[in-house]
Amino acid sequence: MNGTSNGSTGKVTAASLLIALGIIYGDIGTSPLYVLKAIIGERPLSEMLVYGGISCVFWTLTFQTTFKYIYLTLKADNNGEGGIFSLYALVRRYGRYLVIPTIIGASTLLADGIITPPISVSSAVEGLTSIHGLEHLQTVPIVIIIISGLFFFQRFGTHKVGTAFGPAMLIWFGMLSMLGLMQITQHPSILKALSPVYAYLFLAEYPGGFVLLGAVFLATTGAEALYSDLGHCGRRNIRVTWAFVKVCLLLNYMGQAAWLMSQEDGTLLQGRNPFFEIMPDWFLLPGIVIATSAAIIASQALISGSYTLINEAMNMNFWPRVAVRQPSETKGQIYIPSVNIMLWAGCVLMVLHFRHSANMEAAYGLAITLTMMVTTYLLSYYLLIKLRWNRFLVVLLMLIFASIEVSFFIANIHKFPEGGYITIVISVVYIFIMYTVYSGRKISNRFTKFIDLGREVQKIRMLSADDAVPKFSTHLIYLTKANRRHEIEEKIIRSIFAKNPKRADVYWFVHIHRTNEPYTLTYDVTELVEDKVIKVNINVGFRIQPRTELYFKRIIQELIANKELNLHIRPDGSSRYNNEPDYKFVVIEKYLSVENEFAMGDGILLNTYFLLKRWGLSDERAFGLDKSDVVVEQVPLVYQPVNRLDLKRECGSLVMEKE
Amino acid sequence: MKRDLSKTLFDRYFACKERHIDIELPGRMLQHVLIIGFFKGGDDSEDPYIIQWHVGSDCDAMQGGQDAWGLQTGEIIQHSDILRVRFEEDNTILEIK
Repeated sequence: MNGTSNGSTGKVTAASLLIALGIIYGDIGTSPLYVLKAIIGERPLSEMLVYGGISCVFWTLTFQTTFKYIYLTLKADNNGEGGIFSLYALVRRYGRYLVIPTIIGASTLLADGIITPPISVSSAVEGLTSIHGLEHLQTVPIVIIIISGLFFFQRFGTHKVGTAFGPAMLIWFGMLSMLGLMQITQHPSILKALSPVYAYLFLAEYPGGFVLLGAVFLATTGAEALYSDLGHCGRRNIRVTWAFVKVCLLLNYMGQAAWLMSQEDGTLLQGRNPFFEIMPDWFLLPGIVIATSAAIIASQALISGSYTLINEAMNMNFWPRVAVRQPSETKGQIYIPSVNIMLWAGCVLMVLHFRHSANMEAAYGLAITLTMMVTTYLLSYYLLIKLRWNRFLVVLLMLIFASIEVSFFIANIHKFPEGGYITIVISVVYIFIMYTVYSGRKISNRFTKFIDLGREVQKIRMLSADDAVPKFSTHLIYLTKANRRHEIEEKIIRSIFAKNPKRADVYWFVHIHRTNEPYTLTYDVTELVEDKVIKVNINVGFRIQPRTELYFKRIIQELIANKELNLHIRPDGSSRYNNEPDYKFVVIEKYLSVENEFAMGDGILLNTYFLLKRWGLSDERAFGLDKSDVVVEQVPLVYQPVNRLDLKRECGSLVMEKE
Repeated sequence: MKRDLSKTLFDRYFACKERHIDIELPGRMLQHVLIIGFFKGGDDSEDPYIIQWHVGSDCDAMQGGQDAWGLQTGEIIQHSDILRVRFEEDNTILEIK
């Protein structure tokens, strides 16, 4: 995403508000393109349908978006960052099994994201068919070209065009409110629809009204994105801009409803989109251009959000390690090639499968209701434990939101056979990947034996001084999972001493500690034997891609500059020819030993985990190490050793053959 | 939240100078042993800090808990099986269960 981190509160300036408009309102801001069309569908127009639909939209935006997300959820900032993983990082210590709902929530959020670009761009482009003479225009190729172009340009980053997003969205919201106002003045009684009575009548008395909540829900699908983008804009900027955005959205929704009310009772829309119908003929083309631009910005926000989500998932051990690139110097702006291809393929398939936005509306929203339910669940922990709110108040709030979200879920479940199954299937795939990576890594970690480093120090010192053993490297660096000063993995000690012992002048044990804060980058150093055995602990925030070699060199530079370390002269005198210290990183990779005998479930889980690991990024690249400085050693992971081995020696099998 | 006694044992053990301990397990006792290694639980709340301990005699510990063929010496015990631990250094007893 193309914002700079503003922290949770962030200064409110005209520029920051404009940036916020461009970054976070793409999804929720483009909902007027399809919400009213989805609510009305092919039903005959009536006051109960139009007023009730608008009333439901208003109260949904008030309860779900304004109260739950803008007021409550934005409180749960993790050092300025938001989103489901940030929330999980805040509360994971306080509840058993919070990981399962978090995986479900993140997976469904990612899965529903595959429909956001197709539905927004299709809805905008389909506006062209409202132009006289273009009624039979094939919009699918245009949508595919726009979406493909958008994904192609991701590798170059959005820092150049990103500055235009804010003004473009300002024009979009200005257009929404102007078009809406023009219609409201024609039919001012539409303001009555704000009364909750119409919403009640719609749900209770309109035939199939409750199921239509699935269409109403489309007005708030972007609310989860508001929370995910907290770190890019800051809480205050989001709150101030939301007041403006909500007014613009409501004016447009009510404008569309006013136009609908101006039609005769019982009229059928027959594929017409009220969003484009409220535009004057002369404005249709510029209106479609502005709408398409807004849809592209919405898609961009979704794509960037998906990169951020996968990056967080990776850093929290929910996703196999994949290459992450930084297309610009902008903090937080990343590009993940594999996710880009995955999303592009998903979006194009969605367009080809559904073809029209009306069909996508039927599938959209089902998965994200699950994300919202999970956010509610995690949020209750945050309010209760971190903010220490009154237990009864939290329970009451959660009951209100749970009943709203369960209602939406029940209404949305009707979308399952109409296309909702696609996002659910995609969610299940994501859930499987995340659960496999999380569990596989956990099992793998469980079989990592740690020992007391203090006991090995004397042996290391002896090896280092033993000239009879050829020198392996001046600086030998191991990456360790041991977070305490005096502990180390047994496999590292074996790597040093087994077979050909690795003699070095200085042994470094570097531990990368992923913090629960997003952008931490600090380190501490412990010398266990002066200038000989050194442990370095680097704290890296969960949003940062680690660059271990770079950090390590910087740490050495600082230690030498502070005269805390005497490393610039090599004892063998070779520093006469060059004074560059030579490093060797040893990365120890685990693989699943053939000795294992698994139960079926464990076998599938672990085999898939190691398969995903093989497909993913290698350890040295994941930790940011230069290939030329790295030695990779492989060690088998024996999880379930063979229990029975009926190996019997045959009598007299040792035969000495004579010449 | 229930106190994690595996962490207490871990901290207490590695703070000792004389590290021999007696470990009482259901139906048997391991006497005068050293902790050679340990296996950590996950960083979520499901597991204790240490889930398994590798213990052995002085001789086992000297060899790093494995023989010349790389096969394990000493014994791996589950933390959940430990009833109590006696520290020889000061004769204190840590009741695990």
